[in-house]
This record gives sequence, structure tokens and C-alpha cells, in this order.
Amino acid sequence: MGQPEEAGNALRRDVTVWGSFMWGYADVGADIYTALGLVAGAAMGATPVAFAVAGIVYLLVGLAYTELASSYPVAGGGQYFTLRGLGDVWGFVCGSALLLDYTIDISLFAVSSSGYFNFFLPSLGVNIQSFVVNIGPFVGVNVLWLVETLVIIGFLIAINYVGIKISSRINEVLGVVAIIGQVVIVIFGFVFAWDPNQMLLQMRLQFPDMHNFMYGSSLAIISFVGLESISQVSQETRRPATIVPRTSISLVLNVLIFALAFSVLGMGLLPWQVLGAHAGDPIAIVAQKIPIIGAIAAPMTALIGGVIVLISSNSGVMSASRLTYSMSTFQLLPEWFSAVHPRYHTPYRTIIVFSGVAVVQAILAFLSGGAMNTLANMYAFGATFGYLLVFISLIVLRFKDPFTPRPYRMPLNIALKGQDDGAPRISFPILAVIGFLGVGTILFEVILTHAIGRIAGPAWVLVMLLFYYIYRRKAGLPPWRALPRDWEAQQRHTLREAEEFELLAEYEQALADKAARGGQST
Amino acid sequence: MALHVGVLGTAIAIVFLVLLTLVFRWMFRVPRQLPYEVAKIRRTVNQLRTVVVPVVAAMSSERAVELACRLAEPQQAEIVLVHVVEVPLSLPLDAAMPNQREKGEASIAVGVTICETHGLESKGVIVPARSAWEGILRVARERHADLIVLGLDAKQRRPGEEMSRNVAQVVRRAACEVLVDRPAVGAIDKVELAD
Repeated sequence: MGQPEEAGNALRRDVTVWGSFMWGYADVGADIYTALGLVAGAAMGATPVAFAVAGIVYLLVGLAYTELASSYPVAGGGQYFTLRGLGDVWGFVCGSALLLDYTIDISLFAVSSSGYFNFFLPSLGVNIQSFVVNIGPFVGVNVLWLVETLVIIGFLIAINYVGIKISSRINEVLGVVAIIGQVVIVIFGFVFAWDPNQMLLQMRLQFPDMHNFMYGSSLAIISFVGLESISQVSQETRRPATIVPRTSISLVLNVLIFALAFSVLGMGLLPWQVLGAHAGDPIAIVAQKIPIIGAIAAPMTALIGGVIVLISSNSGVMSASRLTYSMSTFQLLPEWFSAVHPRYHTPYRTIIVFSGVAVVQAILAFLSGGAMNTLANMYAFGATFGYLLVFISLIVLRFKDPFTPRPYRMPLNIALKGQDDGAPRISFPILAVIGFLGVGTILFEVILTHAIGRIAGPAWVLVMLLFYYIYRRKAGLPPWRALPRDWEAQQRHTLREAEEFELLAEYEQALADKAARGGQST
Repeated sequence: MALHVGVLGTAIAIVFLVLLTLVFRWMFRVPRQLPYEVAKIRRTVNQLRTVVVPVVAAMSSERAVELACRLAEPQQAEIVLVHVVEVPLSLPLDAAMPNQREKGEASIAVGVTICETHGLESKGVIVPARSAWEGILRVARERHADLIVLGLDAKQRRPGEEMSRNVAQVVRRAACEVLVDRPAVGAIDKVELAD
């Protein structure tokens, strides 16, 4: 039976307010560096509108995660919430979908980060193209770039193995650099170069048809993927129930502000065709157009891009390891994965194994010309599928577990049951239903338009499900039934260990009231 | 790269910067942490859902209502205003005592007004009983009260007097928390309201 871990091997609570914010920012903040060009290529003159539409769905996802992560501050994120709400099988399905995203996060952003740093190689007299070779049937493999990528992943494995304090500190420092750089570009761009007429002209004359707009907005939602990371690290965050809502909401607003600012700025500086043609480095192209700082803007943007995608890759290592740690703790994966390093207090086995999966993905990306597209397609599938299950779980948990204190609730609720009979109030979240419909629409678009994602994404989940079935059968556990768990004891343990004493007192009071009424355990 | 300084662009840049600053400022203002003991004690007060206040035509009684409201306000607890009509043993318990009832209704009306100023829900109950403490305890029991707030007349200092007996019985027999407020002599009279 899955029980809360004892204090001896628990993950350390070393992540501060800024650290918690940066874990999320590291993941989401990097996405705009590639998404702007992709979205512009599809949504044309309506690029800022596509970002705004996707931003609304993202906002709802953010609010849902804020409620759940502050109520259940344990490692696992969406997988844990789904496990609590919908049981073991769906918890595993959600976990495997998110795991797909995290491993891709590691490989994709490691490739991208080394690509950004390669911008500086010509000034060192190194021609990156001279390292392109053919290996058997694989043509045009860039060996230097591949080695750089593997070194980056190896470096990230090492710092995450040693401990969250080290990797969190790196995130915090690099994140400051990235944010300052982005702010400088936005401020200088708007003050010295932005032309509103150019943007309005494009919006008026080159508005896309409905299909292109929907495709563009589905790409835009992908650029917001990564908020999950804050939930993943909540078990290592100090006072998570207090801090996580603040960092989550701040992250949602920050990323929205940056995404809208860059899309509006870009459309006021350049034709959408130029942005679309530079899908790899759209922000750098925008920066080049800015007077005064333009001469140094391109290398600066390349540096910032390299830094921010590096910490995004680091965030992927952390999230994948924490997710699998959580899954093994609840016997969704073999217990072997749940081992915590006796010295560093980190889930070292999951770090090595699933970062190893990312290494394989990175190698495949280099061996196959279309591998990057494959990764991006699967990325979209994993995120939207996982978010869909999270919305369902949020609604179910409002009914199933009304006793757990919720320091933050999604706004706009309908009270279904009063407190006259002494039972806790159950409020039905309207925004969660709207969010479910929004994410459901995006998932439908992904399945409809992403040829590789609709095959490879479900295939990954099915393979993982087969592994789950075999493991549970071998372990003598019911494959399709949820294991009995003492959620109340775990919730108490979590709140006490997180030093969220006000919530602990509130929870204990709610349980005492329930016991007085002769209520059943959740 | 033509220099293109525009008012709108500058305004957007300022709004962008202000929004970012506000978001970060809010994020870093984390409420301070409470020790477990403090949190638990705060919770015990926050759990007050129903507060019973006996009312009579006296300033001390009205002050008790005011105190109860201040305790009830954060968690929007319900205030139950009780006036006990003490029926002598020579009369049946259901004997009509119009004058007593009228006084009770007037006291409750004052209490309701005090509750309304705090935005709290209140209920007035007039209950006949052989003694005040019996009536108070009966209502507290029936309403599942969490707290009884008793206003004690400041002049009644010595034990053994009627009010003190009522207070003593309530304190001794109540199943819920009891709070007795005895203001200093003349404390209420000293307060003057400006015109």
C-alpha cells in the first residue's frame, strides 16, 4: 500500500519562492523562443490574437494547477491529482503522458540549447558544418552538436543527482539573467522601434482563415506548456501551500505578459512572413530590428536563448525524476524507482533512467531529420492529454475530498451543499468545466492536425500501460483496481512535514467534524 | 534600423514594466509562518459557528452582544440572542407573561441591530424557564452552540448574588465554551459619543 515516505528519506524542502517560480519559468519561459515563429507562420496577421486565445486556456490550466498543487503539495503534479481523483489506472495514464513531455523536454531543449551556443562558434573559428558526417544509413549527422547535447544532458544529470539545492540555485541565477534580457528587448523594442500601424495593417489585411487560426492557436498553447514543474517541485518547496499559489499565478501572468508582448512587438517590427521563416530564432530576429541595442541584440538574444533553454532542459530532468519517484511511491511503477540517495536525498535512480530515455530521444533526433518534428508533435499530445485528466480530477476531488483545505480555489463556483447539516460545503467549479472544454478542443486539434503526434503519443501511453500491467501482475497487485490508501494520514503527514500548520489544524478540525457526524473516510 | 519613438509604444513599455513589477512584488509578499501551537489555537476560535448571547435590558448585555459579534465576524458565525423569561414556581411554565416578553423582544431588537452593524446573521429566542441559567443552557444545547457569551453587570461583584449564580451554573454545566465579560465599574458609563 502506498504510504507517505518517512522523514528519513523524504525529499528535502530547499526550494524558495524564487526557486519555485523559476522551476516553472525555466520550463515555460523557453517556449516563446521557438513558438513565436511557428505561430506567426500559421496565424499570420492574427498572431497576437492566437496567443491571447491560447493564453485564456493556459490561464485556466494555471488556475487548476494552482488549486491542486497548493491543496496537495507533494511530488507528482498532474499524475498525483489524477491518482487521487480518478484512481490508479488513470493516475498512471496521466503520469505516462506527462512523463512523455518531460523526457522530450530534456532532449529537445538540450538540443536547442547547444544550438544557441553554436551561434558563437564562428567567432571562435569553428565551422559547425564541418562536423556533419554520414553514419551508415543515417545521413547528415552533426557529431559535434550531438556530443554537445549529450554533454549538456550529462551535466544536468550530475547536478540533479547531487541535490535540488544546487540545481535550484542554478535555475534561480540563470533565470534572472534571462528575464532581465527579455525585459530589455521588450522595453527597447516598444520605445524605439515598434510601429503600431504595421501591426494593425497586418491584422486587417492578412487575417488567417479559420483552419489556420485554429492551427496557430493550438501551436500557441504548446508554447505555454511547463507550469506543471511548479507542482512537481512542491514537495521540495518550503511552505508549499502558501508559496505555490503565489508562484503559479505569478508565472501564469508573467508568461502571458511576455508572450503577448513579444507577439505584439514582433508584428509591429516585422512582417509575419519573416517571423514565420525564422522559426528557430524569431526573438533574435526581433531583437536585430531594435535600434541602439541592435548591434549587440542578436548575440545577446542567442546567449539568453541558450541559457533559458538550458534551464528548461534542467527543469525537464527534475520533473521527470520527481514524477517517476511519485509513481513508484504509489506502486504505479516498481519500488526500485522510489529509492532516495542516502547522502544527497535525491531520487537518483529515476534521474538516471529517465534522463537516459531523453538521451535516446536526442540521439534519434540527430539520426533522423524528422525527429525534432516528431518530438514536438508528441509534446503537444502529452501536455493536452495530461491537462484534460487534471481538469476532470479537480472536479471529482471537489466532491470526493471536500475536507482537504484549499488555500486557493479556482474562482466562479456554484455552492451545491450548504453547511446547515454540518457537512463541508461543496462548490462546483464552472471554470474547470470551461477549461476542460478548452483543453479538449486543443487536444482534438492536435489529433486532427498533428500526423505524428496522434500515432506516437497514444502509442507511448499504450506501451507504458502494458509495462504497468506486467509490473502490477508480477507484484501481485490488481492491475485495473485502485489500491486502498490512507489519504487522510498522508495529507496530515504532508501538511505537518511542510510546516503548513494553519492548514493542518483546519484539516484536523474538518476530520474531527466528519468523525462526529459518523462520516466515512475518503 | 530606423528610430521610431512613439507615444503608444512608450506607454505599452511602461505598462509592461509596471505589470511585471506588480506581479513580482505580490509574489514575494508571502504571509509569515505560524507555529503549530499558534495555528491550532487560532483554529479553535475560527471554528466558532454558533454563539449564544443572553440578553436583558442592560448595557452589559448589549456589550456582550458586541463582543460576541467581534468574535463571530471573521468566520461569519451565527449569533443566537436569548432572552429567558423566568417563570415563578407558582405559575405553570407556559404561563403568558406579556410584560416580560415585551421586554425580551426589545432587548433582542437591540441585539439584532448590533449584529446587523457587523453584517452577521442573528436569531432571537424568547424562552420560558424557572431560572435564567436553565433557559440559556437549553437553547445552547438545542442550537449546538460553540460559545456562550455572558455579560455581567459590573456592579455585581460579590459571589452568591442571583446573576452570579446564573453565571456560575452556566459555566459549570455548559457543554460548550463560555466567556464571561465583566467590565470595570463605570467603564461603559464613561464612554461618550460625539454628536
